Amino acid sequence: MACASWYALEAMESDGELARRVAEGGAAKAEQELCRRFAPRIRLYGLKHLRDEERARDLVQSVLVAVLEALRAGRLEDPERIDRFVLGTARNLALHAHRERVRATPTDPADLDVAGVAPDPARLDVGSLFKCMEGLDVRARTVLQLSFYRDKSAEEIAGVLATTAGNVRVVRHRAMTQLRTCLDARRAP
Amino acid sequence: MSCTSPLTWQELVDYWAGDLPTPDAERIEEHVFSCASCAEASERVSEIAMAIRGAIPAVISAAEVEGLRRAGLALEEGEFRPGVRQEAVFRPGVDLLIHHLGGLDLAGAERVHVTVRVEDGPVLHEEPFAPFARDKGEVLIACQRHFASMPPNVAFEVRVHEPTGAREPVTFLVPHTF
Repeated sequence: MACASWYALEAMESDGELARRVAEGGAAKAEQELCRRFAPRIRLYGLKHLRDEERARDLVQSVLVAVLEALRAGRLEDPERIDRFVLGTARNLALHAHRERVRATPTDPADLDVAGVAPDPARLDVGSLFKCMEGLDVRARTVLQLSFYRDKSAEEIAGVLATTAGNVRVVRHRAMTQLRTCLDARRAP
Repeated sequence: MSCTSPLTWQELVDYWAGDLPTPDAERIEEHVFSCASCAEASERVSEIAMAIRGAIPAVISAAEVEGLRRAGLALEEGEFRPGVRQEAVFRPGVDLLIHHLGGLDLAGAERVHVTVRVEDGPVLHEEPFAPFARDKGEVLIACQRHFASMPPNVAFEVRVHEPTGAREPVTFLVPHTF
């Protein structure tokens, strides 16, 4: 499909203008540009809701195929609202993918866990992450671990750390800022 | 590309932590889908969130250990008892040491809090919601090669929280050699 490779930025058209050109037909470069713009956003949605890089990439492909087909077939009434349409499609397909996954592996917790703990080399360098985590104090590391690994809410974390949910959020976003700065510095040439 | 009302870093962190009410999370998703610069900012948060989520935790469940074994990691397991000093050696070719901290009474546990500290020294790591095996009476530690940067004389304190309150912590003394 047209999304298989990304090209340099098409003219600075809005998303809606690109969608309109796709809907009018014969606009391969507009399709490519539309895909290039939305693929990262769909991937993020997939990561958030499907929690897995490979499944997020599958979602990108499924959503883009569905969106281009809808545009080509003239099923999108208002191309200016292409962003809402792409998000809606991502929501539907992610929900479907989630249900399929739940149905496919309901009884083996080991299968459910491995994707969550096995290192993924495509992601951020884990060695750098560990180094940067060492620069945080114990409380900040605990808050990050409980937030992103154990999926605990700020209220739950506050309950065990004898503080307030507001303080947990402050510690969390400051720790993330510190980590981001550290990781960027390590990545710089 | 510029954004007239960019999402804040804190909003994005709370979003990736799953710590926003649904309407707020949906508002952020709608904004990210319409805004390239905020999508880029969101990706910078997600990169860290996903990396933490993908890392192996220090305190681990039996199901997670099984998953790692299936993924092909070389695991070496050892059993430890409270109050008994017992060395752990990280040999070449081993990816992870799995410490079984056993002999715990977890029958009434509603939560288990594990503290990793230098023996008679500072705290290195806290796990207030440690996974635990009630029937086996044990907690599992996933000792990883990069822990070599920590002091070797490690103590694991396990505190069991029951509906009636927290019990006195049980300590495992495990000096490490890497």
